[in-house]
Amino acid sequence: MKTIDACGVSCPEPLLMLQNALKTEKEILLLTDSKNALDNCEKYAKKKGLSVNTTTDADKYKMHISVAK
Amino acid sequence: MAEKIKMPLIGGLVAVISIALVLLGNPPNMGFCIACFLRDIAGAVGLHHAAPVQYVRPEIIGIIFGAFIFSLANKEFASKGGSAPVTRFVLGFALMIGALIFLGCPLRMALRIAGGDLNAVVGLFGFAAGILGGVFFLNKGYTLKRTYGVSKTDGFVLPAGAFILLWLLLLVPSVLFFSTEGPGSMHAPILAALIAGLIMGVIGVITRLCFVAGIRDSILFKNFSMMSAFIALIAVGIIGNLMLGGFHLGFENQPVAHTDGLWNFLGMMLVGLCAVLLGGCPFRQLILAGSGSSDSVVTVFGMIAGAAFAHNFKMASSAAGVTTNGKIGFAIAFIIVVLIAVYNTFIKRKAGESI
Repeated sequence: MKTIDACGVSCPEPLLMLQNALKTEKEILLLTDSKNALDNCEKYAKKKGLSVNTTTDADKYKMHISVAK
Repeated sequence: MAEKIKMPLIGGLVAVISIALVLLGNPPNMGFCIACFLRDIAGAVGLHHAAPVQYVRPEIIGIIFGAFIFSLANKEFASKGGSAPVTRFVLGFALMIGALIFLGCPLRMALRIAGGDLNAVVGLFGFAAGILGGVFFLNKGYTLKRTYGVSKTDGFVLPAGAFILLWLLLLVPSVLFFSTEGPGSMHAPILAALIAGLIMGVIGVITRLCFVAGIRDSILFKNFSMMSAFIALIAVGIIGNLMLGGFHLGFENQPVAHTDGLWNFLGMMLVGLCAVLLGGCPFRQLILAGSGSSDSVVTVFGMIAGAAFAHNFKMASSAAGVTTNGKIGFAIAFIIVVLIAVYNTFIKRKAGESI
């Protein structure tokens, strides 16, 4: 599983990081501290039919994305 | 599905508010213009002395208040900064040079198109070209690195400054400069402008409305949500202007505009490029600045400084056209922006270095 640390990077870089990682990875853990980035990435992953599971830890969101349903 | 309806509705609402502000006294096709309004504020506090463009625009104060209060209320407010602030200042500065060569920010460009100003359609092509340039760098790994948590006071500075500015406008206007003729002399009543700004501030936080994201996200992610708001804004604007007699199709005699196609294109190209490199258009920067991003506050300061320099050094266009200094200023700004983009895309990465 690949971990992407997208904390603190400006829009639209978190989504670009996710998009690029999905080219090779089947399972990704994306970390972000931005609700905006989280919403964008969740929408994108759901639109692609991926399984998404998000948990909140302190001020960080941990988004687990996998290709398998 | 809700998103598909929500964003066009928001775009339409922005058009309605903008047209209402023009009816209440703002200059034609300038219900909102973040670049012009920051320029007017720069003039009002004496940072430049271009007599026709000096006024404290309550819309800007309202946007900052709206974003500040609403982001605090829904717990999105976060004092953060440290992602290349000085570089952002320079990008904001350069963006303003481009905007004042064209005469408008992306929002006013849309409002100008809605008023039938075909010069703004030329600007739109330039804007799209600039965004394509920015997307090229983003795809190659452009980044200004991370922001980090900073002292809460950093996030309160801009709203406090906006409050002081409003206080001066209402109670001590004698210390400010006000236009007696030209665009700066045309304005909606203070309360109406303030309320319009507040609404826009709240809209900005809820929807993350951004006028560069429409084209950018359509290209990058095939996401047309923001684009639908942008198109609805223009469509509703055209209908509203047609109904109220504010629609005049053509290139000539457009309000607060010039007909130099090449420079309308190039001015907005610089705006598009800078906005992508900054991660959002001038409106979005104001919203982020009100929501605690000190990097965006620095960007707004860069835009204000850029506006002051644009007028002090006679780089800003007028209805008479583009100035020689404006062309030189554009060339310098464009080279600096490309160098920033190239450096932060290709040069900074050593082997193994991450963001």
